[in-house]
Amino acid sequence: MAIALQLVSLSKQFGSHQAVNHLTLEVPTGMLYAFLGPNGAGKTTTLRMVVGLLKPDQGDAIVLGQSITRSPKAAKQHIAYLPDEPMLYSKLRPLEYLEFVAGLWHIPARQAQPLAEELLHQFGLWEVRGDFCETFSRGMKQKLVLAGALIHSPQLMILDEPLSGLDVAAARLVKNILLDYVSRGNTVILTTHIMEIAQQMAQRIGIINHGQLIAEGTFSELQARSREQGETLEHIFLELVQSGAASDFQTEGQGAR
Amino acid sequence: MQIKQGSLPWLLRHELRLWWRTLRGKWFAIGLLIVLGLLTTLLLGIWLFAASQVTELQPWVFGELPPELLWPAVLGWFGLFCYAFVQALGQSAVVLGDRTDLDLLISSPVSSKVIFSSRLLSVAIEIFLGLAGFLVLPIGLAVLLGFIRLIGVFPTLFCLCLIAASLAMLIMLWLVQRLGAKKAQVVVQVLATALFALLFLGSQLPNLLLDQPQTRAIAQSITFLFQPGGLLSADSWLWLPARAMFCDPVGLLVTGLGTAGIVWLTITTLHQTFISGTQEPLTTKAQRPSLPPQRFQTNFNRVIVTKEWRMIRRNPYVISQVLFSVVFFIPLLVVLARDDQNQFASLGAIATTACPVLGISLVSGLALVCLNGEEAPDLLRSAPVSGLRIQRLKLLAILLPTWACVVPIAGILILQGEPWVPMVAVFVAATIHHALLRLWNARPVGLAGIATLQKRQNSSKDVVLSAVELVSYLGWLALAFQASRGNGLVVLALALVLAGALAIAYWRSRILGSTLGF
Repeated sequence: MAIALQLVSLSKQFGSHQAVNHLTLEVPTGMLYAFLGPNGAGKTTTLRMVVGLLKPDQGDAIVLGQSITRSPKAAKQHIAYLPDEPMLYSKLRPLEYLEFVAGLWHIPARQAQPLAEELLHQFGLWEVRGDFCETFSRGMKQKLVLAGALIHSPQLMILDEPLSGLDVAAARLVKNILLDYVSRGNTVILTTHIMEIAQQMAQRIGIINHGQLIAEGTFSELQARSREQGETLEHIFLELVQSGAASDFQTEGQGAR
Repeated sequence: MQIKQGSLPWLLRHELRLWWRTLRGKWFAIGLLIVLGLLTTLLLGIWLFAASQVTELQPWVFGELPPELLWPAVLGWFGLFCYAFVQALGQSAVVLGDRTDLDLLISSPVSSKVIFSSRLLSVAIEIFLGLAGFLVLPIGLAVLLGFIRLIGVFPTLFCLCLIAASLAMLIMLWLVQRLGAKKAQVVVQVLATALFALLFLGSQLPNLLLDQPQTRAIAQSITFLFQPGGLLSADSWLWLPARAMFCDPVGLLVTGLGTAGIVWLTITTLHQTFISGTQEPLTTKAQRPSLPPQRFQTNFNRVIVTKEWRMIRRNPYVISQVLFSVVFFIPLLVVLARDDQNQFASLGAIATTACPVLGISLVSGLALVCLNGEEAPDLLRSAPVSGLRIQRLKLLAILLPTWACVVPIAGILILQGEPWVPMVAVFVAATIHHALLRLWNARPVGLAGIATLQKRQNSSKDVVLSAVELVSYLGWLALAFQASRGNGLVVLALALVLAGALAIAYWRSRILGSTLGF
C-alpha cells in the first residue's frame, strides 16, 4: 500500500521544551488515521510541521512522496489543513471564500465554480451564500472551511479537532463526508479528544505523549496489547498516558511494525 | 466599610476597578496628562502675572461675573463637552455593545436600573477623572491666587460629563436598535472621529479664515443675537452652565437639576428599552441582499487582489479613520501653502506638499486591513504558493487604490499647466516607502474588533515601528514641502534620511522575522 504521510525523526523544540521528539510514523493511503494525545502532547505542532506552517528542527515529513522541507509547493499541492479554529475571512461571503481558496491552489474557475456551488448545497450553506462569514455559527464556519478543503480535491486531509463545537447534525454530516472521502482512496488524519469518534471512525490510531509516539495500530491491536481485555479506547488511552505503561506499549508497537 | 452586594456603589466599584486596571497599563498617557497639566498651570501663572503688570487684576469673589470672562468660559464649556461626548461615545460602544459581562449582569438578580446607573456613572466618572486630573493644578493655582469662585468648575464638570455620557448612551442604544451591535460600534466610532475632527477644525477657524470682507460682513449680520435681550446675549439662560463654573448659584442649581433630569431619563429609557427592544435586533438578521451571480476568476493575481479589495471595501471604519486624519492635516497645509506675503502658493506646490501625506495615511489604513488584519495566515502558508508573491500582491492591492486617488489631482494640474511630475514622483515614492515599512514591521491585529478602542491599541504597541513611521511621516512632509519649493539639495538630504529609516525597518525584519504569518 502506498504511503500518504511519512514522518522521519521529526523534531521541534520551543526554548527548553521539546514539543516533538524524533517522531517517526507512516500513514498508508486510503484510511482515516486518528492522531491522539493529551493536551500539550505535540499533536498540533506535528501537524503544523506536516503542512509547512512550522519548520522542523530535525527530520522531515514526506507527503505522497514529496518532502515538505525540500519541495514544499509540491507537497502542499496534495494537502488540505483544517486547524481547530476555522481559517475564514469575516467580511467574505461563502462563494468568495471558496473562489479565493481555489485560486490559492490554482484550480481553474470552470472547474472550481460548479464544485463550489455543489459543496455549498451539500453542506447546507447555499441559503446563506449572501451572508458574510462573520455572521455564521461555529458549525457553519467549520462546514465552510471543510468545503474550502474539498474544493482543491486534496489527497491528504489533516484536521485538528474537526468536530469540536458542532451540533449533532453537523457532526454527523462532517463524519459522513470524511468517511465518503476516505472510501474514494484519499487519506484523512485527524486529532480529537473524543475517543468514541476515533474508535468508531479510524482504521488506525496513533497515540502521542511528550512529543513521542507511545502506541500505534488498529483499535483491535491496541486492545490486544492492553493489560485488560475488551477495554474501550478511552480506557486504553488513559492507561497509556497516565499509568506509565507507555514504554511497554511503545516497545510492543515498534516490534509489531 | 462593607458595601452591600448588588447595590449601586458595589457595582460602581466593580466598574471603576476594571477601569483602573486598564488605566494602569497606560503610563505614557498618564504621564502626558500630568505634563500637560503642569504646562497649563505654568502658562496660567505667566498670564496672570503678565496681566497683573498691565492692569489691576481684581480677584472677583462676589458679585456679577465680568462679561470678558463669560465668553472664554462658554467656549471652554463647549470644548470640554465635545471632548467628553466623543470620549463617552467610544466608551458607550464598549459598555453597551462590547462588554460581555452585560448579559451576566442582566441575568442576575441585580436590578437593571442599578446596572445601567452604574454603567452611566462609571463612564461619566472615568471621563471626569481624566479631565479633572488635567484641570486640578491650574484651577488650584487660580483658587490660591484668590479666584475662589473657580472651584465651581469641578461640580460643573461632573454635570457636563454626566450629560455627555447620557447623550452618548442614548445615541448608542438607538443605533444598536437600528443597526445591531457590530454596525453600531463602527458608526459610533466614525461619529466620534467626525465630531472630534469638526471640533479641531472649528478651533482652527481663526487661522484658516483670512481677514476677508465677506467674513466681516457675516460677523456683522449676526451681532444682533449678542445684543442685550438677544438669544446669545451675555445674560442669556443658555450660558447658565458656563456661569455655574464660577459658582453662580442659579447656574449651579439649574445645571444640577437639569443634569439629574437627563440622567434619570437616560436610566429609565435604558431600563425600559434595552431588554425588550435591543436584544431582538441583535439576533435578527438583516434581509439578505439579492446577489448577482458570481463568476469565479482563474487568474491568481486577480483572485488575491480582488479578495483584498473586498476586505478593504467592507471595512468602512478604517477608511473613515484615514479620511478624518486628513482633516487634522488641513490647518498645517494652510500654513505651509501661504507664501511670505500671506498669499496662497500655486496649486502645484499645495498638491506636492499635501498629496504624499494623504497617500501615507491611506497606505497605513489599507495596510491595517491587508497586512496587519490578515485573518487566515495559516491558510496562505499552507497553500502551494510563494509567500513573497502573496506579499507583493497584497502591496499591489494597497498601492493601486492609493495611486488611483492621485490621478484626478495630477489631471487637474496638467489641465492647469502646473508642474505635476514632482507631485507624482514624491507621492509614488512616499506610498511605496510606507507600504514597505508596514510590510516589514507590521504586527497582526484582530480585524473583526478593530473598531473597538481596546483592540485598536494593540497595533500601536510596537514602539520602534511607531518611531520609524513618525520619522517617515515627518520626513515625507518635509521632503514634499521642499520639493514644492524646488530645493533639490534639501530634498536629497531628506531622501537619504528616509532611506535610512527604510534600512532600519528592513534590518529589523531580518533580525526579528515577520509575525504576520504569511
